[in-house]
Amino acid sequence: MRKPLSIGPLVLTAPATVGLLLFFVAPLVAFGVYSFLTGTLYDVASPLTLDNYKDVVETDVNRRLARNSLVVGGLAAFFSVLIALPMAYWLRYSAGRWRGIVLFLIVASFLASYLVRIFAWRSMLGRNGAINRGLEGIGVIDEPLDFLLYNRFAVTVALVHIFLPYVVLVLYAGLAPLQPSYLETAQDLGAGRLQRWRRVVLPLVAAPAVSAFLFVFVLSAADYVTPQLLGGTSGIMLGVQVQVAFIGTGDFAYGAAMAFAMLAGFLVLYALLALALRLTRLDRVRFAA
Amino acid sequence: MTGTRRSPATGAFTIAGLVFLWAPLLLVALFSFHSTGSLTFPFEGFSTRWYDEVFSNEVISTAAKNSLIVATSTALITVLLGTLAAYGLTRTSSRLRGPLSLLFFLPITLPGLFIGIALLVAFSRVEWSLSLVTVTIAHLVYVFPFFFLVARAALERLDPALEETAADLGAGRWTVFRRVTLPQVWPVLVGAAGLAFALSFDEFVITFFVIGPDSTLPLYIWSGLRRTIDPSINAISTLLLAFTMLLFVVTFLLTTWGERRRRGRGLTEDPLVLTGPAEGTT
Amino acid sequence: MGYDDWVRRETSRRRFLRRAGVVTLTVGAGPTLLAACGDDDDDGGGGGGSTTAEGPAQAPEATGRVDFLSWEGYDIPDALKGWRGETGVTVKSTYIGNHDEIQTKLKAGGAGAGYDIITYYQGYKPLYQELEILEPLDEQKMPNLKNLFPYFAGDEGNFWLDEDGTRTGVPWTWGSIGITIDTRRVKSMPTSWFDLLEPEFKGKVAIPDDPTGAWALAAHVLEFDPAATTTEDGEKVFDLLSQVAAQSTGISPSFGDATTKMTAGDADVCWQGWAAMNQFAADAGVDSFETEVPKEGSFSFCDAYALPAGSDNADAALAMMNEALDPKVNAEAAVFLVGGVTVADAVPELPKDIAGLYAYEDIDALLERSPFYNNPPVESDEFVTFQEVQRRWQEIKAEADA
Repeated sequence: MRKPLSIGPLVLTAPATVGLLLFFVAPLVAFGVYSFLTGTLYDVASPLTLDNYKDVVETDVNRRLARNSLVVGGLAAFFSVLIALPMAYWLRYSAGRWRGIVLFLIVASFLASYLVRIFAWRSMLGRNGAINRGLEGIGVIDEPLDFLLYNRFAVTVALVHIFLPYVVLVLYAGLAPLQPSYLETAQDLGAGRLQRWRRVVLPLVAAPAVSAFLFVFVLSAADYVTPQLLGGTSGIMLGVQVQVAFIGTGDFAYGAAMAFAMLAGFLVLYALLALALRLTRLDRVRFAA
Repeated sequence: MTGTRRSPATGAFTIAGLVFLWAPLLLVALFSFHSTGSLTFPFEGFSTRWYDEVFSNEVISTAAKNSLIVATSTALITVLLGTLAAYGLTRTSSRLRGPLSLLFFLPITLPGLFIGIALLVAFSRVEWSLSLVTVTIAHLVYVFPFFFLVARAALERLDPALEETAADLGAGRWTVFRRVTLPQVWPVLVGAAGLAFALSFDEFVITFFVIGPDSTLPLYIWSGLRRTIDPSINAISTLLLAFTMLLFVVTFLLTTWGERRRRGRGLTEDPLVLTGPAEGTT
Repeated sequence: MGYDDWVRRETSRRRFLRRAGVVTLTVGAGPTLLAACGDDDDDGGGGGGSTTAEGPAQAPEATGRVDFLSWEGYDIPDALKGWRGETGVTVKSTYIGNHDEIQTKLKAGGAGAGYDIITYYQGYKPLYQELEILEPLDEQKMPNLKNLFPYFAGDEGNFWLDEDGTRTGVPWTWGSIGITIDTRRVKSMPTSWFDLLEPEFKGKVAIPDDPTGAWALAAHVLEFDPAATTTEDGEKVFDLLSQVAAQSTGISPSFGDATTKMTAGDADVCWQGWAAMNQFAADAGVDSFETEVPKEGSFSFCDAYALPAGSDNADAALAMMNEALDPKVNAEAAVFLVGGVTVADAVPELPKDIAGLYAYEDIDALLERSPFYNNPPVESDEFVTFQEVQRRWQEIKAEADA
């Protein structure tokens, strides 16, 4: 099939590429070098060393926090996608006149301030919070539920709350080419609802869903503000270690090593997921012309 | 085609999702009118004192102004660069597609704190003095992957047949983009632009390091938390939410109205439908 | 720096030392001061100024813009409004979320960061000097220094003055730590810090996230000097902190946060509480907070303005610092921040509830029970270091399983 626009388009990526190379890759490569140097107070000095990376991997607390990050990040990403998918489906196929308003409401919720939102969750989940008061009011419980706040659950809920609108938007965009007529045809041919999902909807939405999952996972795992306000002592994640390294102890080299170790972890995850997509042949969008 | 298929299950999910998203925000708005300084129940009574405080506070308005400048610039430039990049990447068959995709995804994999300090060191090395400009640059780096992911998802799923037909009929590349591609995806891109704006507005980790002697609103709030937390932050957030929502409604109405006028009779559809090959519009 | 300046500086230093009751030989000090003066010339505008005849200290002509880096509120915008109107000075501020962000930004950004005023907690002086962040302050340009309580004027502590008399900081606000309780749920004030380890407070203790503060308090309670705790004794201190953390539902990022936790009923007492929290809670409609210093005493903290390296408007910065020591301004700042005043004449200007926060009539006794401490050292083989405290605190924060 002739593709009339095949060579030129790459040029369009140039501004973004150059910008990112200049203002992202270059400073970060420079900083990558830092991770191999020795950290002095809020600076680095010359003895080249691998010790920073060694410390990153061998410290107990890092392992514990990494586990937390995996769990919380994974759950937040999983639930975000899980809840967003039916919402995106509804928007695409069942919304009708309501599409504009609902989409607007979903995106608008993203415009609320991040910090204020976190405090709102404290008002919801705390001992005197909305949920407890509501449940007590209708008589379901006598004592306020203690396990809602200051733990991983609260952190996960808040993270899903933050990223859900974004995932909905991504999946909605992903469902675009799937005409309702295809679904109807499938239904006419005898495919049950589940089958339609598995063989028609899912393949199309798999790639954006995986990208969104990765996004939410990466951002959740590295967050250090939400865990501090909602996580108690058990909801702390790995991102806080970077903060401690740079700001608290002023060890730029260790901090750089920490950040790059996390990056390596994410790249591994990215590669694994990309591979999984390719193996299940869900990575390319095909058109029945 | 406004294909409406009845689907009570997903409809219920959507309602639940909306409730989940908006309940805390309504709580924020509620407490912004609290007569006492408490952010938790019991609710003592209504008062506009926090709004009065916010409006009379010069520091807040300066910080808010800075945030607005940076967020707007970031959103606009991101839309431009991101749409170009997504369009380019999805229309090329070059082998660079994979590596470029990775590059565009990369900024979110590093903690904001790290990016902030790295940029600070870089700016200081080249003796580029800190200001709202350096903040905007840093925000562009941070926000780009978000916008790009949405734009790419939207653009790569368009059937190329439409564009090819237009090209065959003699339309230049820019015309094809403007009259075939863009009309199909612009609502989603506007949504993503809104997200870019919100992300930039809310950012304070990277911002702290690359900003000159200024503050943005989240920096002000985050610093003020040290001493006391009172509903003035609720008031600020509610005002912001109302303001940005209004902005979006206006933008949306204007663009839709403009679309409708240009299309004349041709557009009978809800512009939010992402059309495909079965729908023919010229 | 010319001879006249040296004479001026030397004279003011002698005057200060005489006030403090210390007699000193001046001959030997000459070369040192000259050398110090020489360094002043290297940065833009710090210390030097034009040569004037020796005379009483006088605030410099302040113009232009002062760039401020510290906590929101520490630039006391309302209290300084009048001064800004008179002088035409504008203040632009970047607000921090964590004290250590100051040195991180200044070091990573190099001198080009260009701020004119920062603040430092008293214990940070050795660290900041090692990082070469602080510029000497010209006392000749700050006549209001004479308003300071003797304690803050530097008679006792060396947090704001070097041994050779060089001033590094202008203390202007302070506070003392205590146990804060919510009397709605806690009927009697605990008399000892160790009471907070009792089972009745399990899951009910709020703790602000302040590694140096937490360390200082725990070390003080165990009767160690936070700035000189051997590694062996240090383990006992970390152990105590772990126990306290286990009594909590997580470390609060701020005092405001700890207050909110308590007013919301998610915590009943605060380890490392602060009298200002009573006021914060009252503002939130909860009048039931009380703060007391238990029998073991506690520690106090004091913020001082300082001139960072790389400043380009030192005169205006010094003038602003000077203004903060004006009794009315100092009092207004204390009311706004719910803190203590460092200026004796400011006490009568305070409303009753703020004046009642601290026992100004015998401030020396108060500060002896709850002293100002230095931070742990940056490098040491025998004592627990600053970095070690930061690192271990993070581990304690992440410790409990919920």
